[in-house]
Amino acid sequence: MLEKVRELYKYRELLANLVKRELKVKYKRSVLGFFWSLLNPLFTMLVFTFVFAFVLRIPPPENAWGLSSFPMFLLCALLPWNFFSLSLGSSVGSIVGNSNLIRKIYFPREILPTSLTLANLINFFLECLVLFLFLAILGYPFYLYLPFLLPILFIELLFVIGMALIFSFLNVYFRDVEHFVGIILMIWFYATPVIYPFSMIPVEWRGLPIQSILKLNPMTALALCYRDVLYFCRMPDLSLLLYTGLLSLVVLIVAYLLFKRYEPFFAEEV
Amino acid sequence: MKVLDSLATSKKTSSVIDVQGVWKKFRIYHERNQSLKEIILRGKRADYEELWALKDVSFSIPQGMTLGIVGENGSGKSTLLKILARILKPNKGSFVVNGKVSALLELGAGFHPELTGRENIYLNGSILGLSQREIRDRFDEIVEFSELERFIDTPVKSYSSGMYLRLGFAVAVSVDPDVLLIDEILAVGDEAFQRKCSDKIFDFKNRGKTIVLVSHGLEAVRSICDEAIWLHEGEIQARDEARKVVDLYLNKVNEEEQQRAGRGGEEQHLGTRVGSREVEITKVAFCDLDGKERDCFQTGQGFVVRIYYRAHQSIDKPVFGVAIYRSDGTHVTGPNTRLHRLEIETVSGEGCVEYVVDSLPLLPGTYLFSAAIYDYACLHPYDHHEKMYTFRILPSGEEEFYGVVQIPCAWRHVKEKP
Repeated sequence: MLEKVRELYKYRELLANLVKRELKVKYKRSVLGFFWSLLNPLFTMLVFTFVFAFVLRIPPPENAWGLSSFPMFLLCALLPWNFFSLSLGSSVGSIVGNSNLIRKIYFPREILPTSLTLANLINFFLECLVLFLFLAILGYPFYLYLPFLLPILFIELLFVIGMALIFSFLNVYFRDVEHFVGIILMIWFYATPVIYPFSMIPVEWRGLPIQSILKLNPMTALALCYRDVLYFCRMPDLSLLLYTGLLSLVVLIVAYLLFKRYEPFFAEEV
Repeated sequence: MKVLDSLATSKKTSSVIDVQGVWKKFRIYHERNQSLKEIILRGKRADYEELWALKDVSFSIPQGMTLGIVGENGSGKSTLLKILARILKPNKGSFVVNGKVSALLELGAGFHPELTGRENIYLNGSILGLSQREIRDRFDEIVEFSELERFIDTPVKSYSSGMYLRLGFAVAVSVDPDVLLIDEILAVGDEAFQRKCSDKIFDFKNRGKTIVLVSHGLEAVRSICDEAIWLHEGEIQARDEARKVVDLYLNKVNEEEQQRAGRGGEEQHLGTRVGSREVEITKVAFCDLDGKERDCFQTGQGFVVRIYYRAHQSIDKPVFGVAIYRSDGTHVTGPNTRLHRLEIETVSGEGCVEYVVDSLPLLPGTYLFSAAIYDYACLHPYDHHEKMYTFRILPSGEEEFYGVVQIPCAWRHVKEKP
């Protein structure tokens, strides 16, 4: 594994260049350019707020300072979710889609999905800055536990890279995965408390500890942690964070093993 | 599989590339079906046949050698190159490549059409393993070599294919590798580009780099490479001096062609035959100056071709002609009796015309031979045997080996201006 890390380090400039390429190409020749990456979640926020806060009347919970705002409540989980879902959605076809490169040039293939994930991470950072601005204007003391955001972010990054690698690998052997991933993400989105407060889910349902089961979903755990720090401005649930961290590590190791075993044959399969 | 990057090791060991018993298998799918449904229904991915593209290939290349790989399509040449470039993994066997490798398998692979030439130089350079710094240092050189100064900030999608290739080549050679792997790239681009490429390759060669060249251009292999490997159905058929291997390979190809032609019917020859046949060529024989028939000669020997004819009616002023082609199709010569002012008044019945060369200037190789009888205007063929005969020039070790012919010449060293 150390060898792999060393090789990736050797190719770090390629990684950086591919991230740059991704960001450059994405917004090339569009008038608003980079702002699209900010406008998108903004409009999603407006639509969701209208549907869920005004039509369906989902009440946003109050934090210890008596502040409540559905748009902020939503964004604190929506932005991390978007990072996950956009990364997965774009990485899944990244190896098959770059067959011209894979069949002609040697480089560690992990770089392709990883570069897309990192490009999305940069978008996510910028979105977070806008979110911080909103929170500050509305008077949320989100800076109190802000240092905890770093481990949360890092754990999400590990998880997202691991998933991106696994799905891009699967797509080499089963092209259905690319189509399948949209459906999986849609179901996953509603299974994760992004548009509703987790507290609305019953603790127990027909004898099943439904809340605890749903917490096994790493994206739920991450959404709760992000919300704790940014919206509720409190200490995140560290045991939940530890669990997610370990799970992300397992996902990453699985991804590493799959690539180690199958990567040399990608050139024949794409 | 081990790829060592240190130069120190390559100095210690004499061989830069060492391939030991490499086997490579491909799956040929009958129907390329990769949907989950099929897999679940049939319990396997798809029906396939296994094909061994390389069978127990072993060889080594010393520092500074240029090695050519020849063989027909599907013989495993490109597979071998891709294994050396680490794109494919062998099923069995091992190989070591000492030093920095650059593979020119496709020029401009990885260019992004929306990005400008400048951006693509950085992107492609880093795909090929250059650091930002190295690219920055070599940037001007790359642009100069590609002759794209005016278009460097234009998206490459609006480049012509020639510009695209030039940029791709310029980036690829700027890597300045210890080992250069080249696959057929000399076959693309216009004359000027090809010349530029081969100049660059010679430059690498002169600087003592190791080169592996896969090519269908046998003349390129003959002129650039020191040694060559002939791959046939995944196995090494021969490894020797480049020109010897090329000759061996050409002989084999010609033989096979001859067999294919022979299988068709009575006609034992290659080529085509046209003409109205009032007078027919009944036999063509290659002889030495003593009149002994043979089909192998050496450069500088006497060469006599006897064209036997039978005229079914009396024909006035026929013109006998011959033509010699090198096996790659190059037309070497095409003299006839009219050109050489041999006036044959009339032919009737049987006879023979001789084409006599006192000292054959042709260099070793296989040659195709045409013989024909035309009317005096050289418009109407009575009998034309196009490339129906072959003869060989075998190497004696004495002759020159660049080009097609050996022109009688002398060298002088003149110290002052004459």
